[in-house]
Amino acid sequence: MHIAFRLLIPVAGLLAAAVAHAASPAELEKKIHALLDQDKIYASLPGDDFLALGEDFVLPDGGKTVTSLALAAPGGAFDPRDLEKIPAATLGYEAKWCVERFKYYNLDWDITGLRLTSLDPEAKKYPWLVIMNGGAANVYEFYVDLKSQPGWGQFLAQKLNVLIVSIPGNFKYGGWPMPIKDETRQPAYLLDRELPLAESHVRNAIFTNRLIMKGLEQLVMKNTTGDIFMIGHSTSGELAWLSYEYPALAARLKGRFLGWGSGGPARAHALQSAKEPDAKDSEGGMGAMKPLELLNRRDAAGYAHGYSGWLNPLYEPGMSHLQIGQKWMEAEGVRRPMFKQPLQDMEHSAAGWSKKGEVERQIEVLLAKTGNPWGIDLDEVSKDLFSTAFTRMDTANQIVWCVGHYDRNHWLPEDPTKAWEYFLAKEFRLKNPNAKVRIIVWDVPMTHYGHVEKPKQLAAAFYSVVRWFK
Amino acid sequence: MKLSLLSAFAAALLLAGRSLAGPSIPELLDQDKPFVMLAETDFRALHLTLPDGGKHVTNLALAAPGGAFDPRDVAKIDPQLLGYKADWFVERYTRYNLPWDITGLRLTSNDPGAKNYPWLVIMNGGAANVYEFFIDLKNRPGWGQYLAQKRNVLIVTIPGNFRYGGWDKPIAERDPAFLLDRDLTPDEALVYNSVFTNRVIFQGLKQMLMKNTTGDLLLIGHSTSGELPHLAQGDPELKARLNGRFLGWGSGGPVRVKSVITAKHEADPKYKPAPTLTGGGGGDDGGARKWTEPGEFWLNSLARRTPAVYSRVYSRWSNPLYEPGDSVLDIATKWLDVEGRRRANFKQPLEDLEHSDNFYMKGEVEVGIERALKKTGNPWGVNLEDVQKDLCSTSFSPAEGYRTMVWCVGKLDGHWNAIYPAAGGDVGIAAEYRLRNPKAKIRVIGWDLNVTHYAHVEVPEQLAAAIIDVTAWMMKQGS
Repeated sequence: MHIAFRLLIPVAGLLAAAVAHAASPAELEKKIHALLDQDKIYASLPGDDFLALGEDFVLPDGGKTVTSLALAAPGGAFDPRDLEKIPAATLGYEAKWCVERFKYYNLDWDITGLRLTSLDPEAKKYPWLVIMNGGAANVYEFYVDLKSQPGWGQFLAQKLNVLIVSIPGNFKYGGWPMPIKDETRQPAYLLDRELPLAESHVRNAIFTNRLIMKGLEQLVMKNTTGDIFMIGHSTSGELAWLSYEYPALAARLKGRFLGWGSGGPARAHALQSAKEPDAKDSEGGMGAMKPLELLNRRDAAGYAHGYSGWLNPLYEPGMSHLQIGQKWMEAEGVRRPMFKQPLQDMEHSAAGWSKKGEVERQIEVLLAKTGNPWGIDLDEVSKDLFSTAFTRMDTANQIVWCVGHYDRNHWLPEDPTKAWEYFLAKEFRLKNPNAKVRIIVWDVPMTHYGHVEKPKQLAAAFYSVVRWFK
Repeated sequence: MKLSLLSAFAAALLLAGRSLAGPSIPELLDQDKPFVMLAETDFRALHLTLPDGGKHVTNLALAAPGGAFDPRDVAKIDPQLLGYKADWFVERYTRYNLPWDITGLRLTSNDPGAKNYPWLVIMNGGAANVYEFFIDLKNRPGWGQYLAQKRNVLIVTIPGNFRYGGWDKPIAERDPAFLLDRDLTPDEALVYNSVFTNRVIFQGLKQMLMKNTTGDLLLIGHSTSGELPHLAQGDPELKARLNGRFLGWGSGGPVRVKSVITAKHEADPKYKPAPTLTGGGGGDDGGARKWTEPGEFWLNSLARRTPAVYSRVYSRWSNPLYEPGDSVLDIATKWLDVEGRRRANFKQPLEDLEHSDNFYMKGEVEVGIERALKKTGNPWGVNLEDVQKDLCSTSFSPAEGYRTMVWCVGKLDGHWNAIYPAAGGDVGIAAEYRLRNPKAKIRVIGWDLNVTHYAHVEVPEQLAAAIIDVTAWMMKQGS
């Protein structure tokens, strides 16, 4: 049977079941809590329950003010500072755009955060949700969907305080007008000036997770107070796990972990490789090593494999996955960076550990080529390389991974015990025998990008999960 | 006239007690070259004397079964007879919730000038211990005794490698003596061996140094312990006492630098490894080793020394046990026979693994430790999360902050290339340090005679005199 057809049957079943019954928000939350209360590695929230979520997540203006702002900007790349001008009562939260400049490896870097302080007085009872984009994304996809309709962050902020972080380089005022493949499309490591290509190349080559953590810690510590959840999407799952090693952040995490398409540290890939050598992609799936200065650039073909599903807002009946991927690349081609640094990719996998010497060699070559006018100290970079190979895994006592049914790099509905998150949950249980370690699956045909597919429902689901934590 | 000048020059040389075939050590080191070599005749002419000719220590060793004399007895000998005051130190420390012992034989020189030089801290390679740096294979005066005539010396034995009275058991059956006051149970040995990281050793080393020496240091890590001086460069307290100096003896470089060199070779389509006289390699199989082959407790499967292993490149004609007609296997067989008791003659896989580029093995190592802890029930509360943080530390050693570096190498050592010296291992490593420390004086000096990685037991007196000259040169470079 053709794979697409085989997948359509359960999808149709899931969607049909989804409309059969609609429970109240309180009933739904009770169900989520009951699932999480079970001492099981994973539990699934049925599709109808998931789709019924969000009834009580209403935006004061229906989201139209933000949508109008986005639709008026070329490529939807509206200026986040303009959000600060919108009355909080219109949004349901107070928006503040935060730019933190920090120094690392003797270079300046900018990291940004869109802070949404909820108007709900109850919000202060819960930790801040710090959402960190994955490799090729940024703030936009966590705030508006692919049609610039209200996004996950807007819904979340109706009841919780939210900080949406774009890692250095991944946000640019006005976005990137040039094609994704254009070599001049480079990360905006500094927001107040363009960088020469040679400097971009050097920066790409030294873009370690430790570098990002430095900015992330500064951003979170200066712009939020109280407890936090670090929700690292995709590649930034590494950041969430590294955060527990930063005393100031760890004190505010209080042993809680909340994942969304987050996976685990690269270190765990190596453990899986040793324990389950036949597991799919056990080392983390890094392909052949590329020159560190050259970005991995997104394309429709890449996004057709698992990321572009039928819940994608751009999906229309009859479309193939590839067509959805193409529309996605077009719609988000300006405001979304659509690139990822090879080093960041390497540090998200165990497959690159044998290449540490080559990484250093390439950095050395780039520094020699430019004359290193910045005074970058290779020793400092070297000691940071592959920090994700050493991430502690005994740092959390309440762990919940949330995954979409079709987030195939994280969940395998046809054989959950072979899923990456399943392996992680087993490992974390082993290392934290007294911890509550759970996976909760949203049983709708949602992908790794569920936050742009069903943002309202996902926000409500997360709200309930957050309230389950002690 | 010319003749009389020459005669006067010759006379002056004779008066100086030494006639040189080539440049002296300081003259060689003054040359800013990738490597230099001291002529054999000049090396052999190097000379030092011991007040009693070394006989008190030799008698002590000859009286002990297997030569495994108690180092505490050396401390009872009158320093005037030795030329130095001997002290034996055992430092106990805790890492991974386990107690460990590290030992040091401190030789404080009677020479009042010694205090003007850094302590020479000698750290044994993987399968050795204090003995081979203090006496030779025939119990005659060793390298450390000669060095201590002019320099303060501390000979460190890494945890596990020294045992009072040596080992009764055959090499194939013995366990490291991680604690000196009792033998470990099999379960303990399994866990200790499995978590024997360079960080464990380094913690003990630092404690030993901070408590038992003062002032500047030169850390001489022989062979596998060549990693330790580079780890020290990353420790603020020890870095301050190293003062930007590095002195190598059969030391090579840290895994980090070696992996960069490998990457450069792989990236260079023109690169071809130079042929070597020795066939390269040392006692182990290096990169070709199948680490996990021994099974699920492979971290407990020690590399045991055998004549076959020691005949490859370690046993040659300068070995004190060599007799005309001996094959290299004969030499090695005698070596392991005479040193079968007091020398550890084993090496932990993890220590070895961390001495070559095996970062990719980190997951396998963790799982191996996990198995060991599970099997034993882990009554000690060893936290695997603490251990994993330490793994592969040698891949992250700093390579900057140096002012004066000298590698000393024997011609038949695998660290040298007797056919193509410019392609020698330590020459390549030094070149990397030159890149990273452009203002530093970085030298490699080869001893141009048939001595191996174990020249400290082959020509200890001359090697000591050479090292004394090298350290004198190093100190003249300032800090």
